[in-house]
Amino acid sequence: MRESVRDGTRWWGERPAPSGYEAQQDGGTQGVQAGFELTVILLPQPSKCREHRLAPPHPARDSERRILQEPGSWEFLRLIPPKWNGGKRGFRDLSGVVTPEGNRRKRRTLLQFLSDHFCDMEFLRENVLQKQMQKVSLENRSFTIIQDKYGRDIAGACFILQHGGSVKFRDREWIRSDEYRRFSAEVLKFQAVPVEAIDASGCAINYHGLDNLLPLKKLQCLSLQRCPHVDDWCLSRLYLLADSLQELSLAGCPQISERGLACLHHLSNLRRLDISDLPGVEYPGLTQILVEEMLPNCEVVGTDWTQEGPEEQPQDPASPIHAKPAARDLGDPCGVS
Amino acid sequence: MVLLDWDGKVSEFKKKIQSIMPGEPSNLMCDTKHLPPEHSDVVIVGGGVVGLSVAFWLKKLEKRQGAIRVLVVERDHTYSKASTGLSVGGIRQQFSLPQNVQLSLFSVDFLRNINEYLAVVDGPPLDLQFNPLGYLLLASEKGAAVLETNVKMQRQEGAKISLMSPEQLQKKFPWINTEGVALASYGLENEGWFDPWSLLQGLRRKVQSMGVLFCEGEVTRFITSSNSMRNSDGEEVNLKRIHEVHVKMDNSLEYQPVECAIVVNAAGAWSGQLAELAGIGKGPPGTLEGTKLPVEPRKRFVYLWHCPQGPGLETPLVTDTSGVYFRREGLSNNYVGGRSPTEEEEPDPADLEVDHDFFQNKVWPHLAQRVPAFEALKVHSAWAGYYDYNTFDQNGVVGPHPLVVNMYFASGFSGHGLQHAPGVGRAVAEVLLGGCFQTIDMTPFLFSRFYLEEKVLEQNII
Repeated sequence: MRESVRDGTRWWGERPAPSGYEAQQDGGTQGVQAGFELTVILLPQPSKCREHRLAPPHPARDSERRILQEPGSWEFLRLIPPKWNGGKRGFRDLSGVVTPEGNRRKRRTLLQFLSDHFCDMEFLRENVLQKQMQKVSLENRSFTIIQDKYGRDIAGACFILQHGGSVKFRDREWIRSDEYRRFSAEVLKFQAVPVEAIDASGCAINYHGLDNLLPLKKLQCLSLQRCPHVDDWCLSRLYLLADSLQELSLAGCPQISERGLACLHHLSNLRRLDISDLPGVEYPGLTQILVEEMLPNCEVVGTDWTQEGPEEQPQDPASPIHAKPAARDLGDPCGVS
Repeated sequence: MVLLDWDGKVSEFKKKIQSIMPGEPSNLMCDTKHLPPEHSDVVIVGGGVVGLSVAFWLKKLEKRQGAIRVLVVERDHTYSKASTGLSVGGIRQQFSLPQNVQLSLFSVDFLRNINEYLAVVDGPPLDLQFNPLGYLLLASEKGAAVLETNVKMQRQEGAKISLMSPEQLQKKFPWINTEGVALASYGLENEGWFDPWSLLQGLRRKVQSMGVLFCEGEVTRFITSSNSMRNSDGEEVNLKRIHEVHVKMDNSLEYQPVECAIVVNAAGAWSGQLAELAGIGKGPPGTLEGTKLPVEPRKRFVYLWHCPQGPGLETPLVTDTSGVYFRREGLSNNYVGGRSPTEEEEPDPADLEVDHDFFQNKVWPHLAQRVPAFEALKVHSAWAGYYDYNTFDQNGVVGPHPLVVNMYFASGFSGHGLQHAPGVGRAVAEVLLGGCFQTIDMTPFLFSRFYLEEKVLEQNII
């Protein structure tokens, strides 16, 4: 992207002329056309109309954007209709941009306003996001060198420890990395010992990072609590651990929905599943019932649907009844000691 | 012949002078906002998922930003009859042709990383509501050997498919009646279904932000020019080139001639009609000039029913030996499914009316036979949509036409256009910009196979 910026077409070249040829989907209102003329450093963006339904139809904007948005950061860039666009305030009145709802919202709308009108602001924002996304991708590389030298178990363990999680080898104690993500080299000595349990709570593991965990064929206990990048696609890969996995915790993962939970039916040896506090699941009580029916031998810990209301009755009276949801165990998520 | 309509011109002139006068509304310039531009490098006819995918990849793969002006002409912006919105939304790798498997694998990769590909500044991320539960294809004794060879090929291409015997099938899905099933193939990963409408909206939003122009109109005419040349055998060949596309506006006689360099035919079920407009197929039968584009609309019904004791949350998209298919929809035991009719039962594609007797007589008996719980079900609603059915070999047509040199095809997918759209879009963009297919070799899908009578059959059509 830098090359395209430097080749002169965007900085000094002619601005792409706004073409009025897009068909507005509902003939919506055209916002106030705002073209800022500042002869200082910031370069003005072409004038455009804001439509609040879809993303604004930028007139012939030919910038290629590969915005890789982290799930947290998209709120940062939410499409908030700028309040000043009602025509009541002039577009030069910057004070109208600052809404009285707190500093964070002020910062958001101000940044949004700036990036709407200045190319370089937009470029900077895109760059920042791209860097963030690349960081996540980089952290999720496969540890092939360690894998070839020491074996898959140790490679998986190193991967988790690098992300700040903890690993437990069979008949050994839990190994954790310190706050600087360092861990002792004694891990490399456990050559023939399989990894039994992994606690990856809060780690930035994504779909590709799971490549390091899935070859661990003796893994019995996996905790993916509050992992921000674990989504339905990741869950669809867990069938590879079906032979050994007995405990799984997905509590608090923001991107998981009931569609991903349905893939867990492959895990026939699962004995304990924690699906509490999943913001992506729309009907937690009903989902829990369906998951319990799907996995008859498994204890499913979720929201306490028995207290939710008379309309949510258990469909299968033989399924295990939960008196209360188990507290989310931060220290030792797996019962295996 | 009247050379000068003097009186008319004088009155027009008077009106113009009047409108310049202060105090009068200005009628100087005609309002052309709704019309497409007069020039465009590429005109994509058809704004469904395939057309938008071609637009997206053209803009993504162009060598310099803003190098190509792309115009997408879609005659119905509500997409009421477009196959995209009416689709069941499945994606699978279980095809019999390696290229189809590769296309699906790429498309699934695209869908997984959709928020990297289709991200727009200040736009919320897309939620495709992908359901990764896979496809379950059941085969009888007759089809078991073919299924096994297909699965072997799919695995070689990188798909994760498992083969199951009837006993394993019964154990895994106890609600199935395995009578008549000899073998089953089950997609473990990268298969499932999603919401095609959100993909369409996401593509539209991204493509608009990349600078693609949209126009709501219908293509009524092509202005072409011919060139007679001799090929290496000494025969005379008539090469045609499209110079202008006439786009007619909705509910009016107004049209705009758009001068263009390339036309992409992504009109879905109506691509055959569009090809005829360009003169494809107008010639003595048996010649290349007389070979039509064999794509026609075929109507398919989809029914939504409720079954309280039906299969549970883990149900994949099940395709029976009889051709009946179904999948779950949502959490409350609703199911969506249908069946492809045989050639004799083909409904009339003139409208999108649903035939409920078809469900009673042709779908329900097979459903109930395969899943006994479906004896008791209640149909809540149904809809119909078109397949852009390739009557020749039920596989897509991609790439340029040999005679009309600047028309490119991207249609004829016969029911799997949605799941191949990202891959096909990229292939068309590659061949348009680079001259040849680069990532997936789509040469078996070129138009010339209709003339050479080389069928590239896809056996797993649902």
